[in-house]
Amino acid sequence: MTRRTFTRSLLLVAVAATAAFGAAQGGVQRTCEVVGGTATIAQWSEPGNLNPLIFPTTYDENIQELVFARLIRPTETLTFEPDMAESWEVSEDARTLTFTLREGLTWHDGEPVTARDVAFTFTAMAHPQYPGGRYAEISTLEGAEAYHAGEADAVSGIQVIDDRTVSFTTTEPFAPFLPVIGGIFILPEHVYGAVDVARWQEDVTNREPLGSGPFVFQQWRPGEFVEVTAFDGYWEGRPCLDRLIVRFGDQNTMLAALLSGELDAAPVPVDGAASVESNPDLQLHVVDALSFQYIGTNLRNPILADPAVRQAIALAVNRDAMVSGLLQGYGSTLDTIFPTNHWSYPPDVTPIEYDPEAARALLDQAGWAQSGQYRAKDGRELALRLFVPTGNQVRERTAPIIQANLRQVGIRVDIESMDFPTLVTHLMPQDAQGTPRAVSVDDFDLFLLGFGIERDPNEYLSYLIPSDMPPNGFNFIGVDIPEVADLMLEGRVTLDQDARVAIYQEVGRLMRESLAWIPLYQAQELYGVGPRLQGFSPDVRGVNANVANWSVR
Amino acid sequence: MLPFVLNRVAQGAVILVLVSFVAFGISVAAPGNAMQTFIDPNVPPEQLRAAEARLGLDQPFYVQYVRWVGEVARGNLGYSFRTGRPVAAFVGSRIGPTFLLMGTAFAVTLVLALWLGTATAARPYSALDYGVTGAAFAGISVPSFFTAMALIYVFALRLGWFPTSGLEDYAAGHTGIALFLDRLRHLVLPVTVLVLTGAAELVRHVRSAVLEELGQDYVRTARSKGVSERAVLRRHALRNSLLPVITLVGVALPRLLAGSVITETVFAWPGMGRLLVESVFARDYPVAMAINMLAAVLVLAGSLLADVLYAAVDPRVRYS
Repeated sequence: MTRRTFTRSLLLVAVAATAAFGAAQGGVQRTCEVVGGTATIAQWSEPGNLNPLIFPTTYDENIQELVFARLIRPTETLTFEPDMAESWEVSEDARTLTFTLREGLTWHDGEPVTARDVAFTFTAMAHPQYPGGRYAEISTLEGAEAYHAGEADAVSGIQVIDDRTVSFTTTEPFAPFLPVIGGIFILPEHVYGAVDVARWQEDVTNREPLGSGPFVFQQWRPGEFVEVTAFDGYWEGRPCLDRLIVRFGDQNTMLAALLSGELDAAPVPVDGAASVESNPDLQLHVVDALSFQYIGTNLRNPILADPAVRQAIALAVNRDAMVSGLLQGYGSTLDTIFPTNHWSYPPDVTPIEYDPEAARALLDQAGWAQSGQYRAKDGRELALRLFVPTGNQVRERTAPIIQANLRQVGIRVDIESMDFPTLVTHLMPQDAQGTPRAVSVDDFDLFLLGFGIERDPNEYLSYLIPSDMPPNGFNFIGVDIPEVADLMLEGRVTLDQDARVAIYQEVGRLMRESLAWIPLYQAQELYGVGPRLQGFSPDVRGVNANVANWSVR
Repeated sequence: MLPFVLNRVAQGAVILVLVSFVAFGISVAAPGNAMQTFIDPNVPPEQLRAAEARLGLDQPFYVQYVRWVGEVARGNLGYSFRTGRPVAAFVGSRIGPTFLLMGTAFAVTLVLALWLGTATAARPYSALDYGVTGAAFAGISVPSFFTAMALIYVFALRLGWFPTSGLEDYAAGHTGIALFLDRLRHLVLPVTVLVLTGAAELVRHVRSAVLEELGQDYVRTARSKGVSERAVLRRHALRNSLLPVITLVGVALPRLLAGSVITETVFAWPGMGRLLVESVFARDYPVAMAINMLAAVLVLAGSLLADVLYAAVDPRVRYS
């Protein structure tokens, strides 16, 4: 399969024999093998909200990124490249970022895009009545707190300089700010500004979005599909497809629809990989992801507070068997809390070996003596509950493996399956009055959960610093390692990338020693593609990477 | 008759209130709420708490319930927690596909059960009887998700006769007759699943009811008068055996709705059953409650309908 190329430069004007468009705005030209046609793809869950500032999930964002554009967007190597902004500058004190918009950008309704739309979008996130939960991302902007508290009329750190120029000033140097901006879709003020921000979720604009991205929203039939069509005025050139339909349905249903030719592309569960590979019409795409699964430990539990026990668990669990068996090889193990394909992963981290013999020795030394099937110390059995959230079938199947592996070294594990909201009530408990409270020894012992980097390793901060234990944050496990906390806080304000790499890799090494999270595996994402669809090339950014260049035969 | 119906409707209203209380209580008692399903490192807990307060989720159960009843009494079903959609329109858009699926399945089930039930009763312990009885037991015993997947595998993937899922071929954009035929093709497999499980039970009841009638004196009289066996079956035995069958039909409607939960999910059918499952997992109470209440109304209406039909069919039954 050849990869379609397109030029981003104004100077290079490709003249394709197959099909060349009249220059879109900005003179950008796209080369398509075929122009026109409809592609149908699928995802496993229906989006909830299409206003990108309302609690977005991956399923929401997969649709939103068709319709909306950002100032800057991630590249395949996770740096940032211009999107709606043609360039940006960082001030000398590293607190101000100034963006210049491309010339001639328009919204899907033909209105021009201006710097005021950008300012509107970021200001709305700080509005006192803003209901979407993303305020924290921009709360480091100067004046955001005052505006959020209703004490100011505007966010002083957001300045419109002219129609095409906007600047953001943070209260202190804030390293993840570029990634934050790279994750915010820009909304048209003349559409969304006409709605009371408090009513954004209920308003029709949450179901019929209007942006400046490659595709124009057409319709969303609940329970069935979302349909978008090519935007002729897209700054990067009109997409090759005329129409894209995204269906939603159960994993196996969508797999069946792919196998029967009703879909041009769909995500494939691991169990379906063989049926896609053996189908001569279909191609399997294997993509690395930035997410992984781990065993979380309640460090308030005296058993788990002992590093020897955590290390014994890590040594006793046969993670290679999970990768080769449950993932059928589509994935890998990892040895610390960062995904192996991210720059924060320390390449020299000490590997976690599968060594039940060593695990037994460690437990012996720690005073846990075998008595019958399980170990005990001071009359207390070495027994732990393992809370397993349902919904991820591969993860669910790791639970009995963990149970069996740990039984072999004398640790008793009792599995409790529950849906995700129920698990959350254990990790972030509430008292009888419904008020969030601190985690206690009894709330949980071990749990299975996944984590993925969305934009920047600063996202781990709330999981790793002692001040953010529930009810103040996501440090459910109760980890309190001063070096880790210091490094995480330093990473926020350090702008030099090499220094940040060093900081987070050191966090990775320290968390490997701690094993407060016992890392299990990193699954790859699988997609099946039918014979019609050309140019489908999902990558670490998701399914829609390169969507404007997709075409159908 | 009218006083009876009015009385039953009044009883039904009381039952609905009780059902709403229990259903709401169970929904809220399920651990976690709509906002707690949303854990994202970029959304700190205080933001989640603000959202909970906005939805009233920080209130005790009875406060939430009274508020919900108050809104419903004023005709306001509220907004979906997950999507912000107005619940009435959201659930309303799902009623059509569910009723299309259920209605078709119900009609086919009824015809098939009456036909096979009568045929097997006419020739009890014949090869046909054993065959149908065996198939009926299989239909009752095999879980519908398995039947559904087996049908998809054989008829959609292996033979390619029918599509695997959905309401229609979305990319084709059919209209008119073509759309009707396309939707018909999409209906076949999900309807078959519902019919296989639904008819299995009904056919057993029709068979035994007809068998019982065939042993009655009036049947012997009819036969001795020289009435053909066909007419004896159709006009005498089947008609009289409809009485117990009507009662079953009353409960068959809600049972079909229950069956649609799994069938709609497996076939990506945009109906209420699938929406109910999604709402429960998302702890989207307003949507789940609306569907629960609609199901309760269906159950009550089904049993009232059965009673009214009973009186209409059997002159001995009088409601006064």
